[in-house]
Amino acid sequence: MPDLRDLHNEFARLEQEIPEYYRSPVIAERMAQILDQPRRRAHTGRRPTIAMALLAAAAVVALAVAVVSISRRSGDHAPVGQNSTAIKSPPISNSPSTQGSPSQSTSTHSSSTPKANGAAMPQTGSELISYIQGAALVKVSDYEQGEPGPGQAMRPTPGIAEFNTPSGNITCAIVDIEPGGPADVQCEAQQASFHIPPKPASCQNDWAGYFGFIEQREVTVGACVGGPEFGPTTQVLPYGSAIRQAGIGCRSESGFLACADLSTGHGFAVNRDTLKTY
Amino acid sequence: MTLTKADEFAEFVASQQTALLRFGVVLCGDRYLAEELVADVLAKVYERWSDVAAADHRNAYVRRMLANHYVSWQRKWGRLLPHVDDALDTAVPDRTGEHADRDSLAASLRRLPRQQRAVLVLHFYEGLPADAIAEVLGCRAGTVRSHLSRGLEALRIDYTRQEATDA
Repeated sequence: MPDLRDLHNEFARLEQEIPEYYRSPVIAERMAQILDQPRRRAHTGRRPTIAMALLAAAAVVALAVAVVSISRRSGDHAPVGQNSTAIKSPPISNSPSTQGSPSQSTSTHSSSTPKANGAAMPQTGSELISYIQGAALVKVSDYEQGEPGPGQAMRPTPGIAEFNTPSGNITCAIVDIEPGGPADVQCEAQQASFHIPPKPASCQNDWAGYFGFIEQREVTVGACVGGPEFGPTTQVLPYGSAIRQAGIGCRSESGFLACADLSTGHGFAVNRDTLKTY
Repeated sequence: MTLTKADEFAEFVASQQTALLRFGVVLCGDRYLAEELVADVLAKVYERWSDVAAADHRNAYVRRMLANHYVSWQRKWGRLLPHVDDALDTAVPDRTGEHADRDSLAASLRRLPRQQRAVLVLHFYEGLPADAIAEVLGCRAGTVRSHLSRGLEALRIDYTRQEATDA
């Protein structure tokens, strides 16, 4: 069984694939192009103007497509789980949540009146706690299943419970890997139409706006991600059931999914149309 | 004599190329991909040379760009590309246990999602703590810890036993 020394050795072995003072022909060629650019620009006087005109035309077309898309989605209130062609790019909210700031009161990000397919979302944090505690619990270890390698059996991932909602629209992970510390929960909706915070300037990766999480007891909307946040999971949290781990609870219903820190009442309820934070 | 932007940049590339390529190959595990990634990043470095030149830790700044480029490259293209190492992983090596372990570890590393691998490299190769990695990758410290745990799990390394002294 490998240990950390083997990992360091593997990194050292990889390093040695690049000999000392190696000069990459790929980099040399790219550098030559880069350093030659100013001169080429000087000899192609009209090209930047043409390129700018083409860019402007493309921007106008993109804007028109966006306007049409937004106007189509304004009447889309399909319930969670119903197939939809809604694109992931959301309309920009005028009152976004701030990434990383705790939610001191309830806040709703919605593309319409926040009605959760007949079932009303809890109004307060204490209602949210009661709501989540009112459902039958599933066994957490059934949801701690890691990604198998090719030809391998599933391997448990103690402390990381992942699940999908029955519709498949929302994937969550409850992460409890710090002994004694509060667990975190993160959920991402694949398709949604609620308003989200704009990408912050500090985010150099992709901005996953349809992302709610409770981390260190604080609720945040939107995440800066550089890759898949979740392992592929086939585990489903059935409607009418809840999962609880290290003080975090989530309840799945056809109307919406709700997750909360059960000691503070901070959390969120989310479906396709609405994200409500507490 | 005052150096031009191009002169300064060329000097930087000449002095840092080996180190960047080595970091790149540890990040991505493939020498040729590392050359492409470093070339891409150097092009960006040249575009924003004034920022890079003014940075307190110029090399760290560029390595951060490289780590981000590697991770975002995966976001855009990773799912479209097949795992090139599957054949290597499924082969049964008729070797000693030590070599088999090394090959197995190398194959497991190649299969890791790139953000997980970047986190492992930044932690165990660059020596950065979780908070600093979160800053480098523009994600949350909880995500970094989650990736560390998942990555070591995938490599079958017992993190709690082996990393007891790590903060």
